[in-house]
Amino acid sequence: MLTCIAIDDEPIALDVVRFHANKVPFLDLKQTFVNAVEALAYLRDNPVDLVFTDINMPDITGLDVARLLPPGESKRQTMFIFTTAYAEHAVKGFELNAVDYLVKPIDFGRFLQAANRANDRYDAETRQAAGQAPDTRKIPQTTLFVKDGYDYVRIDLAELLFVESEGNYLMFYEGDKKVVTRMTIAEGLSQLPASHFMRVHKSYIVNLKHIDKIERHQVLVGDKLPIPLSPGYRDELLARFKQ
Amino acid sequence: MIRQLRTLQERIPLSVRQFWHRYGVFVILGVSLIGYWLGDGERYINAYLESTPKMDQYTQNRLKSSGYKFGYTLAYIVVRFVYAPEQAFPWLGLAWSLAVINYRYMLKRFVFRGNWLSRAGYGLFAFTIMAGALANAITLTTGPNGVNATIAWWLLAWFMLYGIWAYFRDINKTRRALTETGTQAELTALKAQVNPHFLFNSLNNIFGTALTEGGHRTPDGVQQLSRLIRYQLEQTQTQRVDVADELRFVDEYVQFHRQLLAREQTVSFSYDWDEQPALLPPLLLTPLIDHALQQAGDTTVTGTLSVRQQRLHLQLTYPANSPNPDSEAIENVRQRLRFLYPDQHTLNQQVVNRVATAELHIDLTS
Repeated sequence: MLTCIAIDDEPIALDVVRFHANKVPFLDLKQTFVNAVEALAYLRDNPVDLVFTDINMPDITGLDVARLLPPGESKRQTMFIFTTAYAEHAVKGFELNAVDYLVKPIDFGRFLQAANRANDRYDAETRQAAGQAPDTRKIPQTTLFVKDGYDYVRIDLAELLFVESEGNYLMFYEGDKKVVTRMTIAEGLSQLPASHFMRVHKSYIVNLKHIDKIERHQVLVGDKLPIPLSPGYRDELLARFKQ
Repeated sequence: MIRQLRTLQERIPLSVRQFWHRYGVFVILGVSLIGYWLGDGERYINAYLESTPKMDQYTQNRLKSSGYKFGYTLAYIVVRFVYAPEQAFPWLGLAWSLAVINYRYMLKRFVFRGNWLSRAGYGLFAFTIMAGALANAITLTTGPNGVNATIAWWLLAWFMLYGIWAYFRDINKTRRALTETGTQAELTALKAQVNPHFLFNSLNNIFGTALTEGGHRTPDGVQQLSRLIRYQLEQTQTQRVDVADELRFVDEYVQFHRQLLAREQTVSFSYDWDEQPALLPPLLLTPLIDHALQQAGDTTVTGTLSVRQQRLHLQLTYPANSPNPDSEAIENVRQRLRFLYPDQHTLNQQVVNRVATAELHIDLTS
């Protein structure tokens, strides 16, 4: 569970963050602030894990909030997700302890991606603090939300067998379920963890954990139909399994 | 008239136009040389010159003065054309192609863009040739040889004239480029007036209100609109954008219009990209697509957009509802294409049986 607050001078912008945060199970939005100075005062007494802050605000900017925040009692540093209406501050935002950077209006898919990133970093830091080596076997990101019509559908990455592209659409095959979304294969590939997913053909991405057999021109995944394997990807695929 | 000619010119296949642009001058040169050697013009002229009465000493002396000689040579050239018209093409072709080659590969490289050393080198080269011609002209004043030597001076004058003309033509081209950037500057000023912070904050407020009211379509629409506007604001600040970004934008643009028209079944668009990196000027295609979408009544608009091996191909089929399918927006696209890809594009528009097709090819290599 990540505790968080949100800062924005526009109340409706805070409504958006609250609306999205309520839908994410591991986010606990404690409070929202229209005034950044009040938020700083609150943070002094009540440290949180994550702060959503607008950059462009009348008194002090969101970047100032990140800079002015005193290091808390705990060794853990507060993570920041910056929001802005216009993207001029992108580079500056990433210099600080920024997890992600969101442009308004923030859609839920993008919000969730940022929240997942914060969660991953939180996990990694917890492990590091406990003296454990980072876990490479585990899929770092366990779920992916993709847009199906107006709704976001959750896809369990451990169960996701393969992804097929057709025209402008991507089809995610998760167990017996099939989710169709409007996305290119390159975009789909960028959203899946590279440690567990690999492209094997112009229009196919497979989950390496679910490959049963690699034949000369195809791979067998689950008990589905064989998936074509391009010669260009074959060597890379074999190399992945030799490691 | 010129506009029609240009439209006609744009129908010639790209490869042919590119070849002509680069090597046409050598083709003319070759054909001229062959024509010159094959032609039998000299015979007529020699016969003519021999038929004229011999010059006395006075005339010969007059002929040595250069002013007189220039006039005499000009008359000689005219006579040549009259007596041996089949030689006209080789002569004109040689004069033109040599002037172009001289400008394109020597003047431009060694004089306009070169350093002082290269300029001096070119000067020496030109002087050697002209001195040779001059020496020839002094020793052989009369008869066809002397006249031929003097023709070298005419050629020099012509080369210089052509060089000056081509130089100003190129300057003009650069100026047009500046105008284009000027338009860009105006656009930037306009953008500054529409404060993006204000715009996107407002859109976010509408988005938030719609979201908390529990709608689906409104937040989605606002989201899409914001993405489209953001892309237009951000990407037009650069000269070239990644083909992936532009394709995503076009896709979203078509999607948005489809929802706006509420005629989902009437717009079908497909994309094909070989996933090789390529660069495009931003928002070049949207006016064409926009125009097609505007024309769509209840009939179908189909489009295919492909980028393969640095070649872009856009094809649109839509009903031709208005009598004149060429709008001002499309004329702007034409001008932009002429400027950005002068000999690397074709854009054809046709109307057959009230169905309009627009087809655009661009060779993106540059």
